Amino acid sequence: MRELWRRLAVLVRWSTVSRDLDAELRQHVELRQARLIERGAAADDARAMARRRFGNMTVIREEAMSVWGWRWLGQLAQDLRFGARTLRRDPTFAASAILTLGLATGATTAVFSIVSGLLLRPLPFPDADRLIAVHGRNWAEDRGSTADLVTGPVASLELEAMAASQSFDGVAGYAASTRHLENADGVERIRVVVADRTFFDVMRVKPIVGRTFAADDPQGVAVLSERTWRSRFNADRAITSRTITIDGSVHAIVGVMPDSFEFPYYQTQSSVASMPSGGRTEVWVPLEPLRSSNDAQ
Amino acid sequence: MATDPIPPGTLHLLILKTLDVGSEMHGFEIAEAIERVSGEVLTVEEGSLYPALQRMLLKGWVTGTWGTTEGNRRARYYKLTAAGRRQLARELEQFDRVTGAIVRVIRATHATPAT
Repeated sequence: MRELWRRLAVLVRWSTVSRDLDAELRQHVELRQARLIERGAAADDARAMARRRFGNMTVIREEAMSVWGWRWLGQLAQDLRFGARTLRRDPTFAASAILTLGLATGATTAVFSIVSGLLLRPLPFPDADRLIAVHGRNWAEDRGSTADLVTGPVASLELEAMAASQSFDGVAGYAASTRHLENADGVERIRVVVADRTFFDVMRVKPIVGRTFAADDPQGVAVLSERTWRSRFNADRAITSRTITIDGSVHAIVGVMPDSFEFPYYQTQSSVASMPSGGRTEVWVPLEPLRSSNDAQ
Repeated sequence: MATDPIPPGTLHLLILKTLDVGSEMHGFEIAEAIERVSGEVLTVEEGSLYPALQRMLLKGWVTGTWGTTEGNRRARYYKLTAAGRRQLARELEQFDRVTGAIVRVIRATHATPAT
C-alpha cells in the first residue's frame, strides 16, 4: 500500500524525478572524472574514460525510472500522440474511421437496448413467470366509439369464469386511465389504475406504507405510488390519515407502493413518456366489485 | 588488477550494508566504498547501481535527500530507513544460509554426507 503511494508520488512529479535522476547520473560521471584526475589523468582523458565507464546514460536513466512501473503509461501516451498526429495528417481517413466507429456503436447500442428491453429486463413482480396478461378486444372502440372504457365492467364474465377455474391462484381485472387530480394549483391529468381488490394479492408486492385494498373496502380508497407520495405529499409518514381528490370524489389514502412496483409495466419508457405522469401510474383505486356490476346489468 | 562483477542478487545486500556502516552517502560514494572495502575485487556497474537505488527508494528501504558534497557539488544522499535495516537483516541471514550451503557442497569430499 505504501509502495503504491510512493509510485503515485513519483508519477505526479515525474519530470522533476526524471530531472533529479539525470542530474544525479551526470554528477556521478563528473565525480568519477575528478577522481581520475586526482590519480593523475589528463582532464580530457579523464572525461572520456569516465563517460566510457559509465555507459549509455539514457538507457540507464530509462531503466532506473522503469522501476516505478509507469513505462506502459508513457508508451500509451506516445501511442495516443502518434494516433492523433496520423489522424490529423489524413482528415478523410479520420472522418471515415470516426463515422464507421460511430455507426457501429450506434447500431450495437440500438440492438442491445431492444434485446435488453424485451429479453433481459425482468418484470418487477415476484414469480413473474406465473403471471399472464389477458387482453380483451373492444369492438365498440374498433368501430370508432369513444365510450368511456374505464367505468364500465371489464370483461367481467370472462374474469369470473377464470376466477372460478382451478387454473389460477388469483385473478384481478384492471384498467389504466387518465383522471383529474385536484390540488392547490388547480386540476392536473394523472395516470390512475382502477383495479380489483384482489389486484395487489395477485401481484404479490407489499406496500412500503400502510396497506393495499381490503376485500370490504368501499369505493373511495386509494393506494399511492412512492413517487406521488414523495412529490405530492412530501413523503408524509401519516399519509393514511389524508385524502386525495380524483375526478371530484374524495378518496381515503390507505397505503403507498414502492417505486419498483410499476404497473402497468412498459418495457420501453420512450413510448409512454408523453402520457400524463410520464406513463407511471400515480394512484390505484378499487374497481366496482364484480358482483355489484353484474347486479347492475 | 583483476576486478569481478557483483554476483547476481547481492547488489541490494551490498548497498544496504554499505549504507548501514556509512550512514549517508551518494551514489558515487556507495560504488567507491564497495570497491574499496572489497579490496578492489568487486566493481559496481552504474547501469545496475542506479536502478537498484530507485528500486530501494520504491521499497522504502532508503530515503534520498539532496545535499552538498565536500567539493561543493549537489548530490543525492541516501540513508537507510528502519525498513531498510530490517531488509538488511533478512538478506544477511539468507546470504549466510545460501553461501554456507554452497560451501558445503563444493568442499564435500563424499557424494553423500556422513551421518
